[in-house]
Amino acid sequence: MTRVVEVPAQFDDRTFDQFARSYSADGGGRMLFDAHATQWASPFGLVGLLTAGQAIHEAGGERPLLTLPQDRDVAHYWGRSGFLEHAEPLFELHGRAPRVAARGDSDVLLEITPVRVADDVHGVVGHIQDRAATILTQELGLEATATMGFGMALSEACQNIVEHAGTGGWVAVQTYTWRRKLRRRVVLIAVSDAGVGFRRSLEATQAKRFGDRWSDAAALEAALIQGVSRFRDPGRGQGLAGIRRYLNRWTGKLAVRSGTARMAMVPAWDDDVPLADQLPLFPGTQVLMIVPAHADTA
Amino acid sequence: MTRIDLKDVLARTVNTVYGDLVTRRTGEAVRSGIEAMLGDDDETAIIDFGTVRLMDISCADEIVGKLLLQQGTARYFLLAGVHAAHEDALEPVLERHHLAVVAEDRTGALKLLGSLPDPARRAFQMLATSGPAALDEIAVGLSLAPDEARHALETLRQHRVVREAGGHYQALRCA
Repeated sequence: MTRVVEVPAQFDDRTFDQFARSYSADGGGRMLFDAHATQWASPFGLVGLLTAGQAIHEAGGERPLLTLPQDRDVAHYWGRSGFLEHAEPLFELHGRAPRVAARGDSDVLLEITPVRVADDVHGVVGHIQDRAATILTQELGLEATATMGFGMALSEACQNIVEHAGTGGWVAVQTYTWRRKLRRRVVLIAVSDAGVGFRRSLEATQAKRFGDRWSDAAALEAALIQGVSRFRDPGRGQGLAGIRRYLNRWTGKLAVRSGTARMAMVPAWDDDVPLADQLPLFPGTQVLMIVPAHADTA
Repeated sequence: MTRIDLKDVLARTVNTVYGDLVTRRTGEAVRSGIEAMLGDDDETAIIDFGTVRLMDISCADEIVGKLLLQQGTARYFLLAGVHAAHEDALEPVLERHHLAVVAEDRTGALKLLGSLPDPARRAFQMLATSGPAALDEIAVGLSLAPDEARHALETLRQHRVVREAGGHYQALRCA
């Protein structure tokens, strides 16, 4: 018996819960991720899809099927973004996989890249700095100081995987025009892992303090708002606060989804909710960061 | 004075390929490298950030936070070549641990980083711009009561961001 998981036609952070609901629905058997009708996928959607495959693999499940988008351009983008290269070991791919190199697209600042150990964080940050500087200052019209903070935020988000997830994850960075609301260029960082999530990571040190309130949402609140960490070292827990400060300075957006909850720092240009609870369960943690162009920049 | 180039320490302790101070593991290794280079307790150790492009908060915590927590009451540290992005990583670390440190930017201007009360910050700024001064000169210059000025200078001295000799206070600086 095959269970079908629908990949939304427009697959991004807004439709992710729809994907998660289909993923977490009851039913056994081999899973088929159906993306044949997908018209567009953001880096957030793609790293989330890899995370689903990774979670099944790590749980010892049968290698799921994945039907690739029928639209040739969409499938090409999935190839250029590095998705297909990383999906191949996790999914049995069906459909026409384009033969494209995972490099050379000027909008893709960082192809989908695995993050497992601290060295991977160095690789990600080192790879992206020069291009990020050009795009942030010239394309997005931000001050030069935005560049270093961008590297810091990227580094801290990736380190959360290394330090807390208990398994590997993925990161991707892309620039594109945010037509939906903003009508401006943005840089988007998507980070996702199939690890233990915030609740399990913090349970030993924080659950008692929250009592009956302890949940995925409470764990996100503890980490994002109160800056707590599972480590006793008082210097820990500053990374997410640093990301918040950086994005706040440049009117950016931060959203963190873990388990069944999502917490967001919502700028004026967006209409997301600050906290969404009782969402469909999804493995690990997904982080979305968006840095928009300066208002005067086209 | 002992001058410690962070890029050199990074290359020696971690990897010659890396150019950025990111991750806790890197910070831990770099801190160990710095500790091995420290001279006498009374010397000022100048940690040169001038060749470092990027530093994240985790690495700043491991290097500067832990170095000051463990050795800051016994040694003098000055951070040289610090730019705005370094400050963004350093300030939250210093605030969280209630620490302070002197930073010198590429023009040689001194700045007090960390969370110290306003009178102490103003006293430091006066010493940094006008040179060494006695307690009464600080009190008059900043319109502070003598006890208030004494407390401000004592705070700076305890954080080892000024030196005191013969009743005169001097901001820590490179040369």
